[in-house]
Amino acid sequence: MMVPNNSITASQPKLSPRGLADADVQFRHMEEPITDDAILSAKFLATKGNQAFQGSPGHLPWQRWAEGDSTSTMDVIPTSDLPAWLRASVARLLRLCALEFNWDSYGSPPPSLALVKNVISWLRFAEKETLPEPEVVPASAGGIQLEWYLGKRELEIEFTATGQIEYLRSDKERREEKEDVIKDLDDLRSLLGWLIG
Amino acid sequence: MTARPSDLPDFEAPPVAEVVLGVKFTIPGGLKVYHIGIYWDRIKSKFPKFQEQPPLPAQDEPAFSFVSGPPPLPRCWFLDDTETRLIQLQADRFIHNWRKVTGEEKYPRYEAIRDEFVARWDEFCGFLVDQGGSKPILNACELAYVNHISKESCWTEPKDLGRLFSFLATDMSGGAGHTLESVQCGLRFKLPGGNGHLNVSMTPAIRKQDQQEILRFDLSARGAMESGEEAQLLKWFDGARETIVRVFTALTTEEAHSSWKRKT
Repeated sequence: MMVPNNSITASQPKLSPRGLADADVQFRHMEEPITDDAILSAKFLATKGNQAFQGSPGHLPWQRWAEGDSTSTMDVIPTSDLPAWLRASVARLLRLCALEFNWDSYGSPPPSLALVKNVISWLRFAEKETLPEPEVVPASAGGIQLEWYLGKRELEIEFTATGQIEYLRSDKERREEKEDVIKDLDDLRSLLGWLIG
Repeated sequence: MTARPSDLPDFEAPPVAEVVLGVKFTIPGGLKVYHIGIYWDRIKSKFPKFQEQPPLPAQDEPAFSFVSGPPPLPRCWFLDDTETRLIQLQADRFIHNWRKVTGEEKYPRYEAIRDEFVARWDEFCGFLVDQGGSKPILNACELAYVNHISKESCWTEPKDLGRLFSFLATDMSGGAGHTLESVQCGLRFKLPGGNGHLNVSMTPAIRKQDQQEILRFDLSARGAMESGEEAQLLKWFDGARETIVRVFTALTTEEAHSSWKRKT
């Protein structure tokens, strides 16, 4: 959307100490050996979010067993520990996966299920219980964009298929607009807090 | 075909969405990348579609481990034309799944799925021998039933789940002024004869296929294989299936049985 691709530096974004702690817990039950560099990479979290989601904190051992280490191949999104606004958004997120290739006439694929799970994972870990439901729209190149309009404040967050998270926020009252990259969960929490704050 | 025990509860329209039969094994010399391609060529007429997935972790072992040597093989999916049947193959697992894809498929029943597993497993073992290797040494086995219980099956809200599950209270309102938002739980049973464990989990979910809210009710049995003999393996599967069906029946209510058209 608003942040051009070349604005994203080649260096890996670092998770804050709090974000690192979150990531550490998320990855504890994954099958692959994880290097420190990988844990520190937001892109890694994005690309491995499917597994992180399945083995995430808040999932009880039996549930992790049933999902993360499951030989089942059925695609479902567990909803028991999602806040109500996010639970209400899951069906709309999943519907994006059913878009046809080239849905925008620019050759874009539909968002993947893995990306949908990543989006849900990030929003779940943001731990915001009282947000309104966002508008959910597909973005070019297989991305997903969430949009909130709350009074004079608007927030758009795009999760790209390549693992970047970008935002545009605007405050019509103050006539302020800002766009940037979300590097970690603290950034996301801060943005969502701004929206409702 | 294997006979069904006459006293086993039977449902005309069970909520089963997927049945999984799998084994964990060791292959002397290991499964190599080139085996995957040759094996697919052998089964391609029945399983023409292919997907790569992350490998499943070792069962009952810590996920973190030091790895040396070549990277692990992916988990390869070989799917039939309808994608209702698939084989999952990785370095230490062979898994056969039957699953619903459109939601309209008729459940072919355990006996037929088991026989398909046996045919595919024998085929795989024969392939390894043909490649100059030896048959895999079985370590463990798994049988899992994944049920998707839709809202037609006597529930619309979490507080109704006592009408569905016999181990939940019929009144789950939590008292005046409280709204039950969600229910999830897990149970673990010992399989008879020390043959392993049955893990049961229930969690609300939204299904990708139709974006419908469902309850996912999984019953998954796992056990170690001592001798690695195929006869023992099949006996284990049959025993685990019987336990799964009996536990499923015991944990669900007569009202639910009625909606699934219980026959016996």
